[in-house]
Amino acid sequence: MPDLPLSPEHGSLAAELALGVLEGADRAEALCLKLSNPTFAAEVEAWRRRLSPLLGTVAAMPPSARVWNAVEARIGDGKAVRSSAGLRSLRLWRGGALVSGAIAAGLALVLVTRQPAPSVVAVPPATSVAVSQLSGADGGAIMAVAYDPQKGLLRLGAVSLQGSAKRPELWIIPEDGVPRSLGIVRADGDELTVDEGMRRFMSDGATLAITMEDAASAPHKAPSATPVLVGKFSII
Amino acid sequence: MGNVAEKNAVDARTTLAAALGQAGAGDVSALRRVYDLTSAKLFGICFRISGDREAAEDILQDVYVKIWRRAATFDASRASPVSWLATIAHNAAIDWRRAQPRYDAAPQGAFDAVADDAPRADDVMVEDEQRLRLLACLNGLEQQHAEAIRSTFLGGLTYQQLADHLQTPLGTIKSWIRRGMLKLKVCLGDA
Repeated sequence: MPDLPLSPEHGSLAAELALGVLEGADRAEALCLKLSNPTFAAEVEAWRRRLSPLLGTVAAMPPSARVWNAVEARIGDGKAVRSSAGLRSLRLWRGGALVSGAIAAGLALVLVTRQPAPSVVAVPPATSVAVSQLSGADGGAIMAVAYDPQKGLLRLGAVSLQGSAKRPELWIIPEDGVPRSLGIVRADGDELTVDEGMRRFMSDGATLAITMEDAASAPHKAPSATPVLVGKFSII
Repeated sequence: MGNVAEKNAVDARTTLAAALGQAGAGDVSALRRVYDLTSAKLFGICFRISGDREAAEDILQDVYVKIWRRAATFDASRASPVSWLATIAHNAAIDWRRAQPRYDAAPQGAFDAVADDAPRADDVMVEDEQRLRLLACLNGLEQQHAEAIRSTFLGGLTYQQLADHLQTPLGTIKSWIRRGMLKLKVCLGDA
C-alpha cells in the first residue's frame, strides 16, 4: 500500500489522538485509522514524540512498593508471549504496537472492567469463559463472542455487515499489539476451534477485531483495512 | 560545572537505554533498574491524569508490564528512552480515563498551571534541548492556544472538558487547539 499524504482532517485527527482530547466516536475513528493506515499511525507517533518533552514538566512522586511487586508477579509468566516472529511482524506493521489496549478503550460499547487488584495474578481457572462484544465505530453493528478456553472453542453471534465481495476475517490482538488472523468467519454466526498455537493469545485484555478481506488469500499476515468491528476480551 | 551536569545527564540516559535493551532481552533485574530510574516520574504522569492514587498505581503497573513486553522494540536512534517511557505512561493513563466515562471527570488539579519543577541537571528526565525547543515553540503561540494544548495534554482533558471549564464554546476550543498544533508543527520544523 503506497503511503499517501494525509488529508488535513486526518492530520488534525492524528494530532488530537496524540494530545488525548478525543472521546467517543471520534476517538474510535482515530484508533481504527491508526490500526489500518500506516501514514496516519506514523503521524500519531510523530506527534507523541513532539509532545513527549512536555511530560518532563510533571512533578515526580514515588509509587508504593505494591506496584513493583505486582509487576514482578505478572511478568513472571509473560515470557511465552514474546517471540521473535511477533517482533518482526510488529515492525512490519507500523504503529500497531501501542494500540491494542487503546482501541478497545475507545469504543463505547465494549465491555471494559477496571484492572483487577494488583495482588490478584490473572490466572483464569480452567472452567472460565471469555466473552467479548464487538462493536462498530459507529455503534451500529454488534457481535457477541464467547470463548471456552478449555476446548479452544470460539462462538460468534450473527451480525449484519455491509454487503461487499469481501468477507469478515477475525483477528486477535494481544497486548503486544500484533494482530494474528483467526481466519475468515461467517457473518451469520459461526463456531470455530482456535489453533493450539493461537490459544495463548486468547487472554484477558486482548482485542478482537474484524476486517473485511479477500477470502481467497486468507488467512492474512496483517489486516488491509479499517476494522469494522472491535472489542476487548474479558475473562469472566 | 555545566560539563559535569551534562555528562551526568548523558550517563543517566545511556544507563537507562542499556537497561531497557537488557530488559528487552528478558532480564527482569534490568527492568527493575528501569523501574528504579523512572517509576516516580511515570507515576507522576499517571497520577496527574487519573487524579486518583490507587488508579494511578494500577495504571503504572500496566505501564511496566507493557514496557517489559515492548522493550525489545525500543529504538534508541528514534526516541530518547525517557520520552518513550513517558509516552507509554501518558497513553495508558488516557486509555484508562476514556475507558470509564463514570470516572472521566477532570481530576483535581487538571487545570492547574504547569508546575515549574525545574529538574536537577543530573535528573534522568532531563532532555533540555528538546524540551526547551518545545517550550519555546509553545511560547510563540497565542497564549490561549498554548494553554489549551498544555492543559489537555498534561491534565488528560477532552475538548469538551476544557470547553466546560473555560465556559467557552466547543468549536472555539477545537479551533484554538487545531491552529495551535499546526503552528507548533511548523515551529518544530517538521511540517
